[in-house]
Amino acid sequence: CFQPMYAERTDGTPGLREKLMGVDLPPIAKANASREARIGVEVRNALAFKLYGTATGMSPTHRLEIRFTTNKSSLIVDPNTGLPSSENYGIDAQYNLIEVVTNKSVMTGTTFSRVSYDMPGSYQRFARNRALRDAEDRAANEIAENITTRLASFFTAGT
Amino acid sequence: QGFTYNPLPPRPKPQKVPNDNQMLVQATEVDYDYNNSRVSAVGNVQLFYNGTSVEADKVIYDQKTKRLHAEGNIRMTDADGKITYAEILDLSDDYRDGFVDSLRVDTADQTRMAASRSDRSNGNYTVFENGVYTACAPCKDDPKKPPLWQVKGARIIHDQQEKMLYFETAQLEFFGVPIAYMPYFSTPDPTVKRKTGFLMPGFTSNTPFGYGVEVPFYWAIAPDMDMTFNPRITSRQGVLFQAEYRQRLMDGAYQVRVYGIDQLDPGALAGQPGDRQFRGAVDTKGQFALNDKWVWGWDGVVMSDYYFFSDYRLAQYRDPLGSFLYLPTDALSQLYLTGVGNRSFFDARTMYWLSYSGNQSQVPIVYPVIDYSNVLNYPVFGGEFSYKTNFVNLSRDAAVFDPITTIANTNSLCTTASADPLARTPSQCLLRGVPGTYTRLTAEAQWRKSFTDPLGQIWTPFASLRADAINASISNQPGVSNYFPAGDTQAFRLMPTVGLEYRYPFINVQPWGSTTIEPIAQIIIRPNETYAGKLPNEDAQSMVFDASNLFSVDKFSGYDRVEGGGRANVGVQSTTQFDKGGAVKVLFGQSYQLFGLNSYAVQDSINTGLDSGLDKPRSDYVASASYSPNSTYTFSVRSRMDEQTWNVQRFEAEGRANFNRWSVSLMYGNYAPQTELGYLTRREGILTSGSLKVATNWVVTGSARWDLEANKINQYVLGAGYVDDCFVLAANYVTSYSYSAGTTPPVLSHAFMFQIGLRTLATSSGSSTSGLTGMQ
Amino acid sequence: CGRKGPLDLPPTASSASTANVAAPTDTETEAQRTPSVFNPTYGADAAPAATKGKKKPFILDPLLDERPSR
Repeated sequence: CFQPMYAERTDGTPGLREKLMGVDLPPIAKANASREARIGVEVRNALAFKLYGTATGMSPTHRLEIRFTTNKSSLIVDPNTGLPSSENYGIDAQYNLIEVVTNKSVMTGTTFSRVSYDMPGSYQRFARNRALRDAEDRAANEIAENITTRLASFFTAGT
Repeated sequence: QGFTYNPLPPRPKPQKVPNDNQMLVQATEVDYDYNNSRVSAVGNVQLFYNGTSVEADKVIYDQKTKRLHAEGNIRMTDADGKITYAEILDLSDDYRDGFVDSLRVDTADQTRMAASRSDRSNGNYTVFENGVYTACAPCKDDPKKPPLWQVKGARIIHDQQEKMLYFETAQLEFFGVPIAYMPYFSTPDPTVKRKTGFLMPGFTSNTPFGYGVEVPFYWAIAPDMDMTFNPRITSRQGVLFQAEYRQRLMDGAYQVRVYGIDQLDPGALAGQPGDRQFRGAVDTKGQFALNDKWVWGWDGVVMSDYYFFSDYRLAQYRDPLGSFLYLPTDALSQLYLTGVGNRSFFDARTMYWLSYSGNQSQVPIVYPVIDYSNVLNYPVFGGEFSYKTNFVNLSRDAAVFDPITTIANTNSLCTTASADPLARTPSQCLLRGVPGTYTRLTAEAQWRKSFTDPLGQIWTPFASLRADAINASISNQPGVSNYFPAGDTQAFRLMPTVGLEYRYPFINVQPWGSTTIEPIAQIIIRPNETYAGKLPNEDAQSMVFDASNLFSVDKFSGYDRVEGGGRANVGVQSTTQFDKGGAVKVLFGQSYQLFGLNSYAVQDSINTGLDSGLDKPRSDYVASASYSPNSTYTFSVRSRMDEQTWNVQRFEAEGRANFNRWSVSLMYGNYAPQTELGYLTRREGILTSGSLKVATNWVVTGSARWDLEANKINQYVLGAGYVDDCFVLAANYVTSYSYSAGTTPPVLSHAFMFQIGLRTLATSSGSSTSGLTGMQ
Repeated sequence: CGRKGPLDLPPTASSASTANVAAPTDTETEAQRTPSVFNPTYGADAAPAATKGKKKPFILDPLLDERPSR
């Protein structure tokens, strides 16, 4: 049956929030000049708040290493101009939860996010550039949300 | 692309052996034949001498002729790790001079040389009689099978001083089939990373220039400098000259490419921008690290006409699949400074887009756009404090209008030239691009903290304050004054926000996995958006309302609009995690305009929020579902349904399957018309790509874009060939739209490319890692 | 014939600096290195990229990570 994940434990063991606050997030390695460097910072910041509920966690019991690749594609092309009018953006992430004490991996997983953005009318390039940036932020937030849910269910269910 | 190939096996480290000019012999039996003064050692003989070692079944050493003669699966390892196998080995006693029968040489970099006889004299030359040279690893199952490509030569001379291999009467063979004869042919030996000389030729063809053959010549000036000259002799337009200069410095590198052609038949491109005598371009790129966090760089492109790169398949068009999947629409020239911290990011850049579709005067120049964001890494009032700023300053020469009614579209009421009284009026057209200079500085600070109560409910109060300072100096062009007052407008906008997010996650743990259900609700209290619709909108033109921004506090995609008024976002998300891997995630929700001005119902110069589903008190329903049973499959579906009729306004589905032998990915999009945004008709399309491994290392890859509204596959790219860790033989064919130039509608161009890629050296040396691991 | 490969650091580079480990890449450069039917170059034509960069101060450093002073 369903029971609250973050409820206080009657047996005095640490609640889910304390366990999540023990997950250390090392920076994600990406080339500084690439767009993906910014996405790495966005994923890490979003994940930090979703796990800790504040700016910083507690002394780490686990370390979460994340790697991701991104892809972009022009799905719809305007037949009158040949220019793209709707594009898709996606992030595919792999993550590995490592127990600090044993330095052993206790859980690995993959997750992905797909978002889309529009370039209406006669296609403005600065608007496309900023729409892509917004799509990157939305996808990064979804990745952080999916990883948080997976970690929460791992620390609750143990698998 | 779902093909994998075996990674390079790690090289055994050659052990250190004393070289004191003493020959050490070990064997099961050593007998001295005094009358012939010969010593023969028999039974897994091992000789160590000057750092090299020889193992063989039998070794006979003749002291008179000072020649060493070994027989039976000989294995000679010299000082720098080169292993030689042979049946009969005859070496002078100091291993310098001697000749080896049926010799096979494995050098340190996975290249193999075999010969029926080889003579190694005065320490520098090894001469192989009818030798064979290849870079392909011997096939695992049958090492004797001819490797994919090999160069056979009546004589191959390996000059170790010059590090060169010289072939006399050489023939190039694929799968043992001779395809090219070369009387004399030389190639650098495997230990050389870069060597001056001709590279592999390429064949390419495209409608504008007919057939073309490229014969690149590479000049390795210095370890950190090189040039490549790549003339392309075309059948219709003459010789396209291409030159590239590359240089690597201490903390970065830069390159400059120059192209030029004196077209023989410009008439073939009549009516297109390419109809001119001389065409060319300069393309430069550089990137340098200031320290471990900061990097600066530039990209620069100058072109004679905006069809040059697509007509001659240059720059982004060199990669047929990449330029097909993500359409290159411009050559971006920019100067940037970027800093990446652990929780902060800074980026300042100037941007100039050289449009591949003309209308250059409608393309803005951004000088600069600066983004700076930071999350403090210590709690403030117990919560997370973060801030982000954006500064943009851009200008555009000519206004651009888009039709929003079929009459405006058919009678082209929205062109700058139309004299019709209805022309360029808000009822018929949108002002897509504002002429003049637009400057905005935005700064936003946010505080938030999550509280978890004993019942397990998560309360997250948040507060933010955003300030925008805007100056728009709009030039008075025909029709612009119907939207904005010409001249200078200044505006200062403040948007304080307070809100609360509520989550109550539940979990049901079962033997096969677990299911979490999480209701989420957000209440956001704000004043109305000031100057809503009264200011130009440059960076928030894309308004897609879906599951990914249902819970965004500000759903606009840029800073030029800000969401105001009271709003509630409500939804539920559920994730089922299977123990044997894989997960299903579902999310469903709706957004409500509580009080105040609904920013999405405001008509700005491009109707940003209209038809988005948020432009009514109760928004459309948004839903998303994603399912990936294992790493082989992923499916995801996103849709927006009308809140009364439930009919689908926006639907996207995506599937991907990666098997060892084949992989396919398919993306389907179906978008209802949004006339007020300029989408006058329904848009529906499929973009699919796949690859099939026909035989080991033989792969066919393709991608197609299908416009279902016009019901034709209007663009596709096909590639077939052989790919492995040492050789690529590839042919690919692309048919895709060129962009419409002025009034001419977009034209389908057909391009074909045939290329050979030989890797004779692992690129693993130096900074880059060769990383030839499997790829999903 | 010749051979085109990635460039080395200039000879003036002291051995200490050459020890810097390979800079992290992004999806695009990884794809450029992987041979495929559409890309036979094995990374020889990779675009110029900055190195990992040495740890030395830069005037804008304070903008990035604030020391946890409070």
